[in-house]
Amino acid sequence: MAAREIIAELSQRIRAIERTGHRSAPQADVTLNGLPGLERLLGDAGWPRGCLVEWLADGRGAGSTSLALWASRAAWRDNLLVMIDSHREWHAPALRHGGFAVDLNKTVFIRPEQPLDALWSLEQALRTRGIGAVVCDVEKLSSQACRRLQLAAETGGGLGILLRPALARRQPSFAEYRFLVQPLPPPNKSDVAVSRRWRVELLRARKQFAQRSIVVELSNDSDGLCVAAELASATPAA
Amino acid sequence: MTRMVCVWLPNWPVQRLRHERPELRDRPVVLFSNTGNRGPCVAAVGRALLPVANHETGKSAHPTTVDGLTIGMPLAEAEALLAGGAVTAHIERHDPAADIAGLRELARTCDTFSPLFGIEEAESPECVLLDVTGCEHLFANRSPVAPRQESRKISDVQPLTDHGRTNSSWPLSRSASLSRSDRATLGEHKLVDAITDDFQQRGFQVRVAFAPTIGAAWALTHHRSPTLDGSVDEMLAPLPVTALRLPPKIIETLHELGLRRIGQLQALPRETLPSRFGEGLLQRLDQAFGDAPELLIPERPLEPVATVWVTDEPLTDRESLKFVSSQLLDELLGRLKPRREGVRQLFCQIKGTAARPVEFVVNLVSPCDVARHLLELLSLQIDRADLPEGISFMRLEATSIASLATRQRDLFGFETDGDTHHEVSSLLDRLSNRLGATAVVRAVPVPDAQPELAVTHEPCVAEGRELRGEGRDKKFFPLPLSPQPSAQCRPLRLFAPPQRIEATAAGPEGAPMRFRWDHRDHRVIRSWGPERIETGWWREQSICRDYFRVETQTGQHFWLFRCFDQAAWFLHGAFD
Repeated sequence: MAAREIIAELSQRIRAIERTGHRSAPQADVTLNGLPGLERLLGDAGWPRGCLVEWLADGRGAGSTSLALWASRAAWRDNLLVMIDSHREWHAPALRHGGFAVDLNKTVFIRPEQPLDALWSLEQALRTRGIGAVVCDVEKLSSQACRRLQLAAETGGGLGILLRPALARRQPSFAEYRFLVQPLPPPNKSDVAVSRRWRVELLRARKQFAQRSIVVELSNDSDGLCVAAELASATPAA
Repeated sequence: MTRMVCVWLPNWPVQRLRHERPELRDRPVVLFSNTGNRGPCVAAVGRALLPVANHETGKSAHPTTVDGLTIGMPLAEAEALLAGGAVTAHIERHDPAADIAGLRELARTCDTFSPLFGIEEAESPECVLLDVTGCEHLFANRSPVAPRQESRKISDVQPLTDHGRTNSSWPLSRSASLSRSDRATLGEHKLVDAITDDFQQRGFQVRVAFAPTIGAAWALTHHRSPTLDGSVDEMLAPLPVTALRLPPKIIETLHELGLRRIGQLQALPRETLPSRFGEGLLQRLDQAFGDAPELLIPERPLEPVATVWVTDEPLTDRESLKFVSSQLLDELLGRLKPRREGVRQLFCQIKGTAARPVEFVVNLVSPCDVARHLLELLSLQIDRADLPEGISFMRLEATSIASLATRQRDLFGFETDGDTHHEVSSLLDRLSNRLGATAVVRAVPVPDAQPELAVTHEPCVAEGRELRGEGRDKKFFPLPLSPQPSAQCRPLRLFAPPQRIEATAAGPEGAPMRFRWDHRDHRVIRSWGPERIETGWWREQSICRDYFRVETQTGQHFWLFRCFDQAAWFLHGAFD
């Protein structure tokens, strides 16, 4: 057998192992994302059911949580949202406002004391059907634990949103997507309204997409916050 | 010959409320309900209970017509009428389900008088019925109770049965039965006395009567008959037709025709009654006189559902213990299955060689009859418990049981199919039992200016829930969300408590220029604010803070405040 055929067969087997869960999952079940411009990163304009998405950012206050919640809005809007609150930091009134409009009746906060309990809760919640999305701060994650989470998400069908520090970009991961959020200097220096800009970079995806990063802008209009993708500054594929 | 006792608790909804909350005894109580499309209407009224001495001079004991209030009057009108009163009235929504549950519970306490007890079948029942056939003679030798004056002091309510008489039982029924054999009669008197005393000492107002039928006993509690001697026929004949438990429509028709007494009805040809007034009248008439059967649907006393396992050879490992638990659980659930009930709370006790037993409680979101799920929850607790060595005793008790039919359908207010709902509630059970009920919570916003107080958290699975309270499922209906004053900009992450930082500001009132936090120096490039948040002196700890939203050179957004009391800067949150 030619070396090329062997390589082809092996790579096919690897793909088969990697995508075991997805083969059985219905292909049409994609949940639309709520972040304009993200479809240019994801191509098919949505998240597959039951996958993990990592959002990396450097430090608190960089805005990755807001972006993650906006992007996954379709997943949790009509379903249960589980927020694992290890640091007891999530501020529920901000979730109701701030452009998220999270329904607190459909939100459960889990406040474990130990990091291990947080991981256990995350896995339990992901494994449960009927849960739209699970949001959790994850600092350290072994690849074994990550694989377990991914399998749990495939069982449950919800979206696992892992908020991680930027340092985690060197670690291997079983997540379907990995984004890096970098704040950019604001477009205009007006001090009246709050405006923010980010570059959202797709670090890792199972599929190759045409574009690797987009720029997202948030401006505080009179009637609230809105998010808009800046078309002109989208960077071409590296 | 059957002997039935009827215990009437007049105005039961108000009595129940006052029994549960004794502080309401001094205040008028108004219960309202939303029937029809007329908005809230008065469903029941109870006046403030007066001291006994004052009451005895009063004439009317019926509490529904006090203060000019009538049943069915719009609530707003009632409020206007009550506004002038010296004592503020207590106004509450009428809860018919709780009334029935409360009356059932009360009936179950009557097992000292009779083995068969139940409540009347009516839309809003107010009577407890006892079948005392063959029980009377047991009370013939009962020693006299403490003087009634004393019991009145204990209960501090005016007994409705005291209408210028010397004993508590209804005079009619007592006199009527005097002509019977002495021993049984004596027993009947004492039984009625005993029941009356028992209810009064618990603070209830009652009227008690006994008769050969449920219908007659009911009629004799609700209406006094001028005839003090004679048979059932003679006793009932002078009573008004309302004593027959008839629907208001039939009563109205009877009154229109001038038929006001039961005796007048009896004089009419029987066969004409159904065609004129409907089937119901003849049935009620026959039931009162004992010509048609009427069944007392008995309440069964609740027995604790518990299973025990004891062995001579102590266990040493957790796995065997789990096996034992699964067997105990199967036995427990087997007993609940015929009752169509599930476990809401499970109490587990494990004893070993150590003196102190290990005890823990498993709480569930909704009643459960699945052994596998319960075993999983038990195992979570067993794994974490500090088990004694040599376990030789284990006891499982279902301390809270609920009907499986009342399992709430939409846990979070949206449509879910049964399976998904079941999975979500079982997830919440698992999480609550491993992490503790306070670790699995829902957020309830509170309209409070101080950001850290603007939200409270309430557990998804409440601990120590009441056994059969009907109101317990209300927890899972959508929470009333109080609207925030305005859609203020609040950070997604709020640090509790606020973290003290070193900061340099532009002037004593100005925005921060730079600060140090998390081992990093942050330089502020833009800031928004200040937003002053100040609470009043009436708070234990009033605050006065100027909040700034700042953007640092790294593009991070933080929420800082200057604390005027301490003249220091704090970092309170991050707009993540």
